[in-house]
Amino acid sequence: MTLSRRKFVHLLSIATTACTALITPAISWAAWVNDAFNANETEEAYKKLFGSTSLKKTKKVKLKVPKVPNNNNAVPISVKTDIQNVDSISLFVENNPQPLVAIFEIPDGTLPKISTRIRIYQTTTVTAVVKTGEQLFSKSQRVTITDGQCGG
Amino acid sequence: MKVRAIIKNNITNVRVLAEHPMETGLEINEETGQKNPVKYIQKLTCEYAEKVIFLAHLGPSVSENPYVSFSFKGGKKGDTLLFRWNDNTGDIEKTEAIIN
Repeated sequence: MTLSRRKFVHLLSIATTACTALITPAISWAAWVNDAFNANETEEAYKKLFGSTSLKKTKKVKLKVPKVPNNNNAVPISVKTDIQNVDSISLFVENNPQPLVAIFEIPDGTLPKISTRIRIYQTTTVTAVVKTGEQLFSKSQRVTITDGQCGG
Repeated sequence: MKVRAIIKNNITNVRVLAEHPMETGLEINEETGQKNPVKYIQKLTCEYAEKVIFLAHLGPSVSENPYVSFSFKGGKKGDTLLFRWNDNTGDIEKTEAIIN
């Protein structure tokens, strides 16, 4: 089958539209990310990042963070879940100047299981949010920062 | 960046340690009395077989010299992982690591 020039141009325009549609979410995601990191309150950060504040608390999200950390400049934190098709795992520290700490995107084949080290400036609630499709699951824990400890 | 990637039972565990001050913009420099300008890693990615398998967006609340660990299915011993971070000032670092 030979393609007429007209047909070729038509196909090209379809392909271009499809490509643009695929690329657009990545670009807008980047903008949301900046806005979300700049938010000064947790609820605002949720809204900016997820477009929603309705989080479902669940024990299926396992959050591991010390209740009273030794060094508030390097608090070990890990999150894992057995929820399927996870898109991302995000960490929030309510009383930090910018509550959104990090977002970990989990592509297919990568396990919903991450760990890192974070700064916690004062006694606060720490929340891990697992996003799958349009659903948001969360697990929170209180972390107490004591005075006079040796920060790094 | 220091990376350790070890495969066990068809799951590759990856641990990354990036060397970076992660300046919050709030710390006061003792010598100058001025606040250190904000400087932090914004994005850290890992590619395997030409696919992004991990992407972390970080903020200044992540500790100095960020540590991140993750795991993925289907790696192969001897294969290469590509890592890259970029910070808010435009600095970039790239590293390769072999799966052990």
